[in-house]
Amino acid sequence: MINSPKHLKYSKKMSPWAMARKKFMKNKLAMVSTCFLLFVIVISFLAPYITTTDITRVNIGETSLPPSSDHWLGTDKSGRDVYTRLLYGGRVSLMVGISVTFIVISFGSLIGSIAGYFGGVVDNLLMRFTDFVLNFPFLVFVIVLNAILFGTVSGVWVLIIVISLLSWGGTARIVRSKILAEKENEYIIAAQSIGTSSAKVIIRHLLPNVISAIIVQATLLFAGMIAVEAALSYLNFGVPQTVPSWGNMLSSANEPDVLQGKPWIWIPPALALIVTILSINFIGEGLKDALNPKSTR
Amino acid sequence: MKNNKTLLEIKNLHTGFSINGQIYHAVDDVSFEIQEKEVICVVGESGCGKSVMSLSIMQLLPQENAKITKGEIRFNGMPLTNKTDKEMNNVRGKEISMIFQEPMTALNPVFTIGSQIQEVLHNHLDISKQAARKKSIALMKQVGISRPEKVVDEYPHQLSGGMRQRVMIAIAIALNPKLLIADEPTTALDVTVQAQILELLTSIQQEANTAIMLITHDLGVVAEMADSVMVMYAGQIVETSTTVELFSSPKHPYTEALLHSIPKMEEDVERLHTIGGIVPSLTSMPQVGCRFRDRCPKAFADCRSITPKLAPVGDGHLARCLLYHSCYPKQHRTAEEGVEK
Repeated sequence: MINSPKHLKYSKKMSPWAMARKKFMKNKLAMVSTCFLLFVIVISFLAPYITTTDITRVNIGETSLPPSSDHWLGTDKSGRDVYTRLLYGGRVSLMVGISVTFIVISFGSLIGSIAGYFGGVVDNLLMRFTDFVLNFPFLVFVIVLNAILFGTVSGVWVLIIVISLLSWGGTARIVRSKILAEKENEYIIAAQSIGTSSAKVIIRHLLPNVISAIIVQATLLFAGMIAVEAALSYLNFGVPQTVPSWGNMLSSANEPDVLQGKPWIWIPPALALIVTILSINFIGEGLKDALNPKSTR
Repeated sequence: MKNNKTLLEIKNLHTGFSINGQIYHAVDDVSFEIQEKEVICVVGESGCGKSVMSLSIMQLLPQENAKITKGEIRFNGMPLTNKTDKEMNNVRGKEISMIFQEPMTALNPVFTIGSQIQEVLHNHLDISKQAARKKSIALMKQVGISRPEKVVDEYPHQLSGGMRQRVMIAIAIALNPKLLIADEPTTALDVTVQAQILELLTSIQQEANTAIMLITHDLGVVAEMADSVMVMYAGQIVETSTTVELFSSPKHPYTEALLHSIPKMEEDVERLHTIGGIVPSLTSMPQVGCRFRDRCPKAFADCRSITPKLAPVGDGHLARCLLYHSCYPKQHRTAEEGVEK
């Protein structure tokens, strides 16, 4: 601890969580990013209260207008208000990101912790299944599954389910490897020696000790999934065209005319995507430092 | 301490590890009994199968590669070997509990001390949160932790090694188990704390009538604590007797060597006495003959070809050495000329 800076003095009385929180608060970039992300989340989900313009209304008379006092960010090629669509689009992008992250983390942790804890045959079966799923070509499968599920589940949820089904493998592997290392600790056998059931050992003893890795993985997934949603929607394989999302809005930029002459149509969603993904990544970095007891940064 | 009821009975216990598809026995044909209220010490170098034996009793062997291949473990007359994990959970912590070597790692770093003591109570009793908290504070007082009302809400990293070991003991004795397995409970502690912990164990044993199986490689601990001693070498019991008998007349050359390697106050030697070589690894264990022969100062030709049996050498005193097999002429027992390397 020779290099540890003076301002990082932690009282011995603090719980590991309190220490991590303090460290995180000290990280300016991460704090700014957190504020920004919270801001984006709040305005996206309050979109219906912030603007009253109908997002689906097509107005032939007002197509491709540059920014003005009526339309702060102009209108797109169908005459829809870009500002309104940006707010609503954030809603979809963030919801896809959050839902997919939640499903992937829960399912991946479940599979990973069972495989890691029990080992042997169980581990082998689950991990081979994971390898199997990870081997699916992502884009092809999303497109096919999207087509199959289309109509049975409504709109955005098709995409959420499809992406989740294909993405839990990485998390499962990470959690398994962490659990494998963690279960060698004596406190696990100590917990077993007082008659704690396997489920309780995993939930109460193992998961809290690997949660830092899971949290960091969750932030990275969150950022990644927003990008995946945007990419798929850009290719028109994501959420339906009627639902605005940042990726959907970008897809109009594949026309040279829009790309060169009408930047107000595609720059707002592009900027929103970049800044949001960046801020989530900064938060992830901050959490990684904060949750790692060895880092003094 | 004899004439008591038998608490734990182990018969021909074989515990094997599968390495590259082959099974190697880390515990090889071990049989012994523990009486109620008895303190029995298991001594031996690292790698002798002491810890594997205690994990076998608790049925907590690593599931992937270790298994009890043969033998019987009876606790209070009921067999433990064929119990399911669920049934064993009712025994663990309640009837038999365990104290571990490293108090630094045996407590979960993310939970408070109190919640870890309360866990054993919640596992086995239908008890309210407040009652469990009260009981955990009382337990901490019992094991000599000062200001338990504060410590109950503290985290493991805030306590010293000795304190943590006391917490481990509090967890282990929470439900008055009949048998306490202590796997080198003092090895990781400094000498003054060691003495306190041993004292605490003795007082628990006397107050609660708990039998203790103490695994150690510190013969000083043995002399202080044990009623009887079991010396293990390479997965087998090589000598067993009462403590007094073992220290006054050790029979097996390995026991002799162990006793000889204790530094003596009155002796002024340049180098401490050691036993040359190491315990053979599981995969290189000799199949025939005595397992100690390569390190034994008294070994002779037959030690390579004849496997010694655990044979009586006195009242309640058994040793596994050819020197005490009746078919060997007396001269071998002191023979130095028979040394073969």
